[in-house]
Amino acid sequence: MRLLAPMQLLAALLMFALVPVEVAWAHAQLLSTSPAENAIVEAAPEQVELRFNEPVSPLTITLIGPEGASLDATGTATGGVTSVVRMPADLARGTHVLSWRVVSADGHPIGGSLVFSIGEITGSAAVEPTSDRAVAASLWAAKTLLFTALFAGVGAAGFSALAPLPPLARTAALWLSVAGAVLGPVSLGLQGLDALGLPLTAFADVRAWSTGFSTSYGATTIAAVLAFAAALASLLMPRSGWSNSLGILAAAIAALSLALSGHASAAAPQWLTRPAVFLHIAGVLFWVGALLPLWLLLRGRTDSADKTLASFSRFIPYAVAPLVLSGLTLAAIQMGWPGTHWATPYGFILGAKLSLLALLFGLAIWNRRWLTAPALAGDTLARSRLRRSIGWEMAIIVVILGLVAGWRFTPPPRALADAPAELVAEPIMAHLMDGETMAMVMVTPGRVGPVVLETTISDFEGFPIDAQNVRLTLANPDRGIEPITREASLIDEVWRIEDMTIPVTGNWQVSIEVRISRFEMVRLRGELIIP
Amino acid sequence: MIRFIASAAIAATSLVAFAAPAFAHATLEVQEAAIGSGYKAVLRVPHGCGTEATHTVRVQIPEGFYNVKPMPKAGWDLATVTGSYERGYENHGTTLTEGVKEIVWSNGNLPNEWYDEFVFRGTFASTLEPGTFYFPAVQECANGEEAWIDISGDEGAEMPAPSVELVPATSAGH
Repeated sequence: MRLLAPMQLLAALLMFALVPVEVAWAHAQLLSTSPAENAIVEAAPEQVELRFNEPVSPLTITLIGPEGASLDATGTATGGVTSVVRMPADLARGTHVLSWRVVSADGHPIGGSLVFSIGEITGSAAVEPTSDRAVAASLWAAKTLLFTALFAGVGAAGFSALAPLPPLARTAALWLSVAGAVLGPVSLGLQGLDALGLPLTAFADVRAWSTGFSTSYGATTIAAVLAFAAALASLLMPRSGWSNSLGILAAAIAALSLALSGHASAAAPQWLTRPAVFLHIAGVLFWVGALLPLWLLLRGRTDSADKTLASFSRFIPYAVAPLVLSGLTLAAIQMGWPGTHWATPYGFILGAKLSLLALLFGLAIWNRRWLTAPALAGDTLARSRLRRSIGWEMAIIVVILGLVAGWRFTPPPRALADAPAELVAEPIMAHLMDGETMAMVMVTPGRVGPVVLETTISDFEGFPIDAQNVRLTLANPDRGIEPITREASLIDEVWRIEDMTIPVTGNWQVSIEVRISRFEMVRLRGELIIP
Repeated sequence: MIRFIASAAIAATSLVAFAAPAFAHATLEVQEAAIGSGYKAVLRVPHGCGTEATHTVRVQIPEGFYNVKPMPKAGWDLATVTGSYERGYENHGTTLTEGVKEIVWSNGNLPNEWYDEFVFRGTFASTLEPGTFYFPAVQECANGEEAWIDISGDEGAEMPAPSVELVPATSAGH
């Protein structure tokens, strides 16, 4: 049994490396379904039929109910030209989504989503992803530990470029990097479980990993593992120019990894938010990475300790200034003007984080202005105070990292700002563009349930573009929902889709294919946040 | 253990899916050509529009592929759309300034269950840059079409245009 877990992990990792290439090789095609797309049926169907143009085998079939709960129905689905999915007996009234992924005989998987309603169309705005509590707690713990390992471990490797690490700090950074390299993939699997609403026991399930990987967190994990590897290499090498460069590289990759995913990086305008997250994380890395080495160095009184403390004190403003500036920028983008929307879980977490940060900055300023100089001059009381203060800083930082890891479970007010609860009927807009073409997509009403999608397409001067046809696709990989595609029809220069039902809240990826001429097609991508 | 075997099996399937590039797509038989040399394009059409039979196949000839001659096909009408090139191309002492821009094989019948190939030849201009050269193609059926016109190069593209990799003349082993 002991061998089993690593082998499963290996299989999962193998999958994880292969998943991106297995997207939608068009071959098997869905011809029809029963119930039909968007049908409203009187009684709960005993089964759902998906008819294809050739035999298929089910890979993943998930049923998402009106309450947002995911149910794995893969086991009850049959293969063949018609895939029959047996429905549970107690299907609730309301709108359901059957998200399917099948593989045809030639090994090409395809996926899609079928939306149907029993009795009435629902789509309550209060739908929350139902994730297993144990999974959510494990995911939170794994991310807190991962962040701690990243900032303290890789941060220390980066800090060693500035000053030699005391042996104990080096050992700690080494072990933190090893732990981080393991925790990264573990948190990815948990992310997948959380997205699909699967229990912890399904950790080795391929679907959890492929879902985790298909979210932006996949790229973050890869970069984080690279950062840990670079940090390990730098820490294991004797201190030289090479090891210093590697340490700085590790810190840069670590900062990049967190800029690749998360609410803040997903916010518009991305040219501002991604660099801001990068700078923010880089500043934190330098600061946090220095704390443990300093704390250990201050135990005794040596020249090297004094030198390290002096160079830290000299450099820290350059780390804190971008940290504060980028932090304020990001908070402003995410929170908007003060208002009732600040009283959300996201706002509370930010508030708690800011209070702790105020405390942290207070300590840091006290350290730098009043303690560092006497400590360097040999004042023993100042040294022991400084050491205790750094200990408190570390404790506060771990709590802050725990809070930040909790953000994953709350959408930012930015996401809710376009349609606060009392104004849910306001349309939601998305603006998509590439180098030559722009599209404006309007979702009315701006909430889950049946919606009308209106798209206008123009060039960069705002002149409308004549298109032959327009296809719009919505997908929600965070929830494991496969793409839902519709053809739009042109009515008064607006491309309209009327038979779309958005089944759950969250970040929906929208992609528009505009057929300009017989041989020319433009694809625009963007994101719709459905509150 | 069963779960591990299942995982590994699916992983292996994915690997095979990746290693055998897209028989399900409309593709060109020869995937590489040298810049400045002649090229015989064999367009492979593996299936119809869903279950419908294909009655027309259209191929666009982009700028840079000149002196194009399509091969007639029994049971199909052949037509070309000609036009001016953006620039002239040297062809055995004469300068070609116009030629085929689109080839149309029509009034044929290729059921979904069958497979067929459509052939044309031409020359890649010596002024082209190395990289992917796309021949967008459209299959037309009674009630629909399959448009292989996606030239984004995205790995996950659902319907990529048939393409050939252009390589510098020296490395093609003349």
